[in-house]
Amino acid sequence: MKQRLARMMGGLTVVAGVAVAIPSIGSSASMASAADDGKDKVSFTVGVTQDIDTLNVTAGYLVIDYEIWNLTLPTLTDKASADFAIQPSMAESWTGSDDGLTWTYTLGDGLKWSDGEPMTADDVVYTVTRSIEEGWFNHTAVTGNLTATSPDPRTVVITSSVPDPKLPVLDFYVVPKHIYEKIDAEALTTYPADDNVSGGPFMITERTESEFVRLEKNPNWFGTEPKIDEVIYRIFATPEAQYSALTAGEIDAVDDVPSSLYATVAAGDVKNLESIGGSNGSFSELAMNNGCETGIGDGHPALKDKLVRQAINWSIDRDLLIEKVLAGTGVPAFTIVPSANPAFDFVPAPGVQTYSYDPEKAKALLDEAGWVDSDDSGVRDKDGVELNLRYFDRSVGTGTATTGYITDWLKDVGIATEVQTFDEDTLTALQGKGEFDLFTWGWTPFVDPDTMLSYLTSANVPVDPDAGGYNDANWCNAEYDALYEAQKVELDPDKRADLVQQALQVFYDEAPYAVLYKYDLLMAIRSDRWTNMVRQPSVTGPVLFNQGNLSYLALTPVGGGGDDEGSNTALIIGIIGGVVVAGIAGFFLFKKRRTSSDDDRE
Amino acid sequence: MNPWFVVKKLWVSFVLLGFVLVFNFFLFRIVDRDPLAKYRGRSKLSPEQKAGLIKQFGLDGSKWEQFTAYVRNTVRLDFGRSFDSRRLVSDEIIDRLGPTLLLVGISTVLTIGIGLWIGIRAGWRRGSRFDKASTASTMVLYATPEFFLGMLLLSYLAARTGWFPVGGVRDVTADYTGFAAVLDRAHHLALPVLTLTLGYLGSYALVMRTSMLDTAGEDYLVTARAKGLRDADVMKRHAVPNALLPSVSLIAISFGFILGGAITTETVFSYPGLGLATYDAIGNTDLPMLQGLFLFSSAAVIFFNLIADLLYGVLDPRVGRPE
Amino acid sequence: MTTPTIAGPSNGPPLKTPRQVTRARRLLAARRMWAQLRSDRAGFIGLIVFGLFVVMALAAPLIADVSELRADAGRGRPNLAPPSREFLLGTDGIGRDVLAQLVWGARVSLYIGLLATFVAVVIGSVIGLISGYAKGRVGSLLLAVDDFFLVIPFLPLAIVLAAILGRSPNVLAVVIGVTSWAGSARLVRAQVLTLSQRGYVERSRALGSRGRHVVTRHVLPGVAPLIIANATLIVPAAILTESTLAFLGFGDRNSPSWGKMLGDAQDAAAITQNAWWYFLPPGLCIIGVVLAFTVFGRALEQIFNPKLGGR
Repeated sequence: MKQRLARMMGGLTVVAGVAVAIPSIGSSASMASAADDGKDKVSFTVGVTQDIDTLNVTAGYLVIDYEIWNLTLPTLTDKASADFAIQPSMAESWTGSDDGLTWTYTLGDGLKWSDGEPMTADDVVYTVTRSIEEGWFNHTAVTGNLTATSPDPRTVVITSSVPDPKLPVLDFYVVPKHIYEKIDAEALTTYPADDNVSGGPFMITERTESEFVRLEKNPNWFGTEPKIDEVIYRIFATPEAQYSALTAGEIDAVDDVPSSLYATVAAGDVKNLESIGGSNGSFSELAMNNGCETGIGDGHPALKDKLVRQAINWSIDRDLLIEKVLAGTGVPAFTIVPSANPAFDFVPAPGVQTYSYDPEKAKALLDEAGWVDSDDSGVRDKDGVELNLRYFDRSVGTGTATTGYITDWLKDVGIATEVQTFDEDTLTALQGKGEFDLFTWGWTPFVDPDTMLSYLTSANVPVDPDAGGYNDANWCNAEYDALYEAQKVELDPDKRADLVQQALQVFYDEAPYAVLYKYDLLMAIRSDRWTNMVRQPSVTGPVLFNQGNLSYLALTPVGGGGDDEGSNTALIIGIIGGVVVAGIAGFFLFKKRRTSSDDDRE
Repeated sequence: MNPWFVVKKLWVSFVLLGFVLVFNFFLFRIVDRDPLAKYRGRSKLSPEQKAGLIKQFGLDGSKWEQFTAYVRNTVRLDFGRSFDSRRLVSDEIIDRLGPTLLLVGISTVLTIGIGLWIGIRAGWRRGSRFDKASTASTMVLYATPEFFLGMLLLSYLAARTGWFPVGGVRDVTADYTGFAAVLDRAHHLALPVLTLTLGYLGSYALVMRTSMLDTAGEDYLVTARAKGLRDADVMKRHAVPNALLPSVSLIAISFGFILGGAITTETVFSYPGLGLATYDAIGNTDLPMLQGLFLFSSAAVIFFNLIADLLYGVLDPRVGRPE
Repeated sequence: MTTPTIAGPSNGPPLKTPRQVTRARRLLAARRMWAQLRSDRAGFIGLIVFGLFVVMALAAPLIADVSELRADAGRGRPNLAPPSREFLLGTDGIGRDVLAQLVWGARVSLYIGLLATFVAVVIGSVIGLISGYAKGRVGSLLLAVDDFFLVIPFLPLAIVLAAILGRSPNVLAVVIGVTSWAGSARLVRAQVLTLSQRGYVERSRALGSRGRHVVTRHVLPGVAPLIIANATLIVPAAILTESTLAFLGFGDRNSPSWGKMLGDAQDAAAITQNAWWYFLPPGLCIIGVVLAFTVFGRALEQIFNPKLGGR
């Protein structure tokens, strides 16, 4: 019995040695076979740090979700890369009525879903109708005021109940009717959308949570044929690992280079890497609970005062945040950024000094508002109420990096904060109940400014804790509302742009948020393997994770797309690495043998 | 072995499992987490949809009804639905189990093998150069946080040199089959396994060494030597088997720690196993998922403890006799 | 476990009360312990190294001003600057002095480590004593609770508890303590069981002493050395746990512990940029303090449990 055990122990050690040795064989052999295969498939692998939460277009809202829908769900019209101008997609052509309320779209001939079912006007009508009925939140901003009919399978007639400046652009995701009609409203809430029926250039063929998603070319895609056979999104737990995988050549592009490294990539100082990031209008803000009377919640009374909110705006050093937190990859912002198109950005009136780091001015404003430190506690107070604000931080995301700065600065001007950390969903729920004072988060606007502007109208102020609402400043302002409504139905582009600017000016003066900055998406790609990426919008926009799928259609492998050279280097290095590990294993085995023979001699 | 001993150990494990079950229920209901948080402010759910979701999450009815339903479902291995992905928790766990079993399994075998071997050698030759060198290095390994070790290995053996992949479980761009696939997996496993192994090597080696020191002084070893047995034989036949006993229970207990270590290691290496799932579930406050993971890993530790106890009974004739 | 024999100082005044006898006996034991510790080189060095870390933590305000911990302390300085005369350990990802973070981080890491140990030891001792001494239902219930805390995966539990209770250093210490007492309760219980068989405890009980008296007067002094030795081994584990929590981002984000520094270093891609001055010091400090305490704890264990013999 005991002898057997001793032998077992010996065996165990050998197993251990072999197990260590296996990876070493692995490194050489797997690389060798990779080179031998001469992979005939052209794969484009993107590293991402965010996993898909759901493929269900009625439930998902993460950036990665939208990117996948851009590749798998068709839209009636597309957006040009340079300036978002309307382009044909499902619809070949369109004509509008004289009053601009009715538009007739003619679909391309012989459109098909990836499973071979015909893609018709019926799918469009179905999507419009059901999205309104059930309030699909990714659709209603566009479809809410529309009705759709299909006189024949290739014709869609869209009628808007009000003048709609967004038309004729129709960029909502069209869902396959033959799949969705089998799923009722209740089942839809947990529908995983794993039927993977695609109407875009790619279709999902494989997915493992937290590992990767594979999309292969959709043979029935009606548009430009992509030059790549598959797109793979590989999910990383940390940006640094993701970046390392890019420099090591394991992947082709990443969505999130650590900001401290981006400058060197952008300067072209990293071999084989090219920066492909840009602004899609995303911005970060310190949201404040403005305590709208018609809304619900328990925000701090001080934040109802415009002067206090302005004071908070003056106590934040946006330039330092950009320098330190973003390593320079952003620009200060003072109002919401309404559109991915920078043409809509807020332009301050000439001669007006925009919010900057001025603690003295902040203190003066707080004094003026009646918040003074009457009890010498270091914290201002008024009528016996201390200026002590709850500050909610997200457990993930860039909110975290700015929190330390902002809370220090607020303390400097006499505003105490109490930081609590929540996951994003819980924070959203708290916001929907109005139970917060301050939190940091951000928005990514669409191309048309309407949606972003609508979020801060009083119509979106939460009134029912169960339903919540987009207006996360709990802010209502009649002047802003009126300007929003006016731009919504203004068909003249110049007049509309002017109305948008006026609304932003109201936002600036009232300061319902302290908007911090507009930041760039820090993406990079292997320039030794890929070329022909498309920025959207031109010059300033990002190549991936923008408002469409144009980059994926244009991407061209350099020199036929082999990463053969990489494999060879990796092969050699892999062998060396393998030898080292085998050496360590060998050391233990050898050591074992030698010492036991020593014992035998004794 | 006495059958009563086995029954008693089984009973204890069963009671513990019950404890875990009850604790789990209450722990994850203390947390103030809105199960529908994901929908707030986004979809406008109808009352029927809300009720349906609440029911799916097992949060309808009184606390007692919830509890009985929870016990009933758990027995049927139904852990509910993830708040985050809305998939069944059991499906999620099954998906993630394979990679973690591989990682933790191989590391455990390696840790035990190498750790015990070092401990035996060091303890048997107390004060030797090997003892001094190995004790010093195992102590340093014990003191090193595994995430720090992982960060260094990732940076120097993967990112800079390209010897090993930066993360994941396989090369997703290649369609390997057969042996090539196995090798590819092994290549991806190497660094996480190395991290976990080095991280937990220390405690095994140290315990085994102490245990050998304890045994070395025992009378029967003196007798065995006096009988003229060779030193190596005395060690292998008499000292090691006895000294192994304390390590058996350490292995069972440390299995739980290694599962914990898998959280950091899997996070550092983006390795999609149960550890990373736990990390993500905590970040998302995904209570059903956490509940399932807790139950699963506790059950695993209880199971291995049971095995260790029974093994103890087999190995040590003093244990398991009727009292 | 050997109990020191009663032997008063030969040339001192005669001992009168039993209390004096006890005190003298304890003093002697302590002196002997100290001598033994002095002779254990590794253990002694461990103690000294730990002492140095404590001094560093206490002297933090002398080494760096607390304002260095402000997020905007890096204003006007380069990010990730290598060591220089001005910043001996360079600057971190947002331009702050790494040395300042390190010395103030020592406070947080050591404070949480020691407080957590205290919590764990108190819970562990109480439960161990009661479950070892009380027979019957109470004993077996406590044993089951102990078993339970041994099997539950403690890292996720600690994280969940921290999320429920908040993330201040005190809460974290309690959370870590609450999740790591099970092992010491087990040890204490075993020791109590052994002691209970000893003559003097049984005599005391036979003489009609109450349970509490027996425990505090006879059992507790008997298990105290074991508790102390065990405590010295919990400290390093607690420090490691705190650093892991902080690294994963589940710690207190406002206190600069070493684990948080490592987490921040990773976020700043310090390793990729070869900023060794940022990620090595906190890592080495964790290793150093854990190693020092482990070596010291093992030396103590050896003194209290001579059966282990010297090394």
